[in-house]
Amino acid sequence: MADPAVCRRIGAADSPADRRASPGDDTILTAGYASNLARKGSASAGGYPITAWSAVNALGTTTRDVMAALDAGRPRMSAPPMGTPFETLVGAVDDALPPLPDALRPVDSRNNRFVQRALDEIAHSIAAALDRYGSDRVGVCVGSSTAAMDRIEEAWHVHAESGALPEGFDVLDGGSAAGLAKALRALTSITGPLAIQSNACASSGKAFASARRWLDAGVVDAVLVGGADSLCQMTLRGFGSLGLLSPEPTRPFSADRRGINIGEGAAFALVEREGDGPRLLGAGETADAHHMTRPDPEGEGARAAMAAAMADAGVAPADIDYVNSHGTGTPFNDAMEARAIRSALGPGNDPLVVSTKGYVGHMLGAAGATEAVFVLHSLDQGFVPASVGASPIDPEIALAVPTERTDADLRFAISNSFAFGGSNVSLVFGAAR
Amino acid sequence: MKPVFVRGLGLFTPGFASPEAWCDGKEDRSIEKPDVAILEGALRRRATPLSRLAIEALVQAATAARADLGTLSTVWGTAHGEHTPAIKMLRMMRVGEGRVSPTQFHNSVHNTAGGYASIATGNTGRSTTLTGGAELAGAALFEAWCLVETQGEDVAVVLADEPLQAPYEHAQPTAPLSLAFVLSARESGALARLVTIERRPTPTPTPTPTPTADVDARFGDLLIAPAVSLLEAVVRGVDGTVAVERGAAPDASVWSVGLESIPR
Repeated sequence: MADPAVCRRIGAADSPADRRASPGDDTILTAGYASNLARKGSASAGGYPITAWSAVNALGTTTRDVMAALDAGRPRMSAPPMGTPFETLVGAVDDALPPLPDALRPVDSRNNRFVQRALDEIAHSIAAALDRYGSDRVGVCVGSSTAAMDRIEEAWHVHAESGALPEGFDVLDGGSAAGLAKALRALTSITGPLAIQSNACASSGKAFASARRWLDAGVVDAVLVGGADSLCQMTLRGFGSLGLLSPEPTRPFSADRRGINIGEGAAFALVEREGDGPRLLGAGETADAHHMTRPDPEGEGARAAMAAAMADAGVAPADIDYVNSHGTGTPFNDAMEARAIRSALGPGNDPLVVSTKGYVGHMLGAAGATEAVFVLHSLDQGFVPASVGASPIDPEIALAVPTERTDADLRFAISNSFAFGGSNVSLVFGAAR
Repeated sequence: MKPVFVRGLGLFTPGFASPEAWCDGKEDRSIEKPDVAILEGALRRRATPLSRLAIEALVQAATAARADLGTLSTVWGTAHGEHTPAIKMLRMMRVGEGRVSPTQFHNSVHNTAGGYASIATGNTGRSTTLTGGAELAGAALFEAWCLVETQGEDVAVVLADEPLQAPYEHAQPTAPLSLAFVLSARESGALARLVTIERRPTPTPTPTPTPTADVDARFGDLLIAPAVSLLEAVVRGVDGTVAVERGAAPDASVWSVGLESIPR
């Protein structure tokens, strides 16, 4: 059952001027529709309301529990449930989650169980959108980096020891995003466009950018946006081999920061053409074109992503009250991002800058959606969470990083995600009107 | 959405190093791997087989479209992802402490090709990578079409996959394949006009001068393979509707693209 406190009721249309031209037949797209290029025009100037959201992660398996822990400044890192050659902590989902229905057994995985749980939380809002717009006018765009890599690893070991893969295991359905796509279709009944974004740690941030494009193009009336990733050996050992894992709880922006804790879980947000709720206002996507793993130390790509997102949203740097940073807790990322934020927002503008990775770890492909949902909750409830672990703040960061929860009448917020391959995305969200 | 125009194409698979060679059936067995001249030095040494495959198709299509690789937006699609580095790391995890190579790790993300291409060309613009199942090729074309519609940019769609390796391989043999399409709002010099993209019950196959049976024989159940039909239809100047997805059932909805030829 969905939680009414976090699943907002779908309201009436904001205004007729916010309506886009709709297709005259039942196909998804047909040539010759009126152009919807008016990016700065009436249709998208007010952004798109987000009417429901959910999250499942180390803080809990209900959105209510997750947000209660965020409200209380209560992180939850623990020892990895699997052995690793590196000393580190993770943000793991400890509670057992129900399996997928029998018909979806080939795609059942820890990752898809996170998806199922998070979708259950907002099931009535998704159903209402399908009723309201028609299933082919609702899309789904989800980011994932590893999908169910844990099942691929398990199958590898079973094969190495027995000479055969586990009975019925198929690498695409059972381990890759093909299985995620099948689960999303079956669990949501959405028949509009479906895309799985896989841009490493920027995956589910970029899913919001796609959703905005689809709505701007007039080809859908709602998009279920999300992200999902589950812990696996490959990411733990991979980040370990790069020397990026912290042996203690991650401490973004702290002078004592030592690296990343990996996390897992799923988050979803229902972005609609009409309705009540905080709004998706803009997105900026750039590439560093610098190095596969190291960000441009000057943060130019990150700065450009924030500048593009603000321009897309039609908001000025002075309007931004809160930045939910990428904030991985590595010495390099946080220094680069701080430079980029100072540069993008300019002198005299002093938004509160938080990393929420201290609560749940770095959820990789699910990080962008999870952090977006944290921002939506903050815009809705009027507060900025404590940036846990930040004290003592690195003086080189030179940003307003709150180490305590701060009540604030927030107007606009930025959420950043940066990734391997130099992929950057910044999103601008606004409070409900 | 308004129609978009195909301004350039790319294709690489062993034996065929261009869309024209493929469509003419001119197989050259000496062609095994793409050259990818834009990757130099360390990038050339480190780039994965999938990245080379994908970037080769991108360069072909961008060259044909006379597009600037330094600014062209890109939408990449790969269903199997970076399978070769992933298999290497799975092997490493059973040796000693099970440490993995940092290079293999950063090479294992789905957007590896996009990363290498952006570094090689200095392109700081928009690039995104999609994955997924049977819907992937249609979803990538749809994403690019929305970019053309909302941003007015030329966009390259690059689809690439390697065969699955043991022990995960499927029964059907598969060759590596990459395809690229440069989509644009500009008609001048275009090869074809794409007029619809929609998910609908499998369209009646549009007759083409040569059967596509070779696609199935060569690429088995590679999920991006149906998009070869769209490339062939553009090259041959076909008017009609082409499915770019295999349906799970005969009446299942699949991504389909309606196209019109442009007299040349």
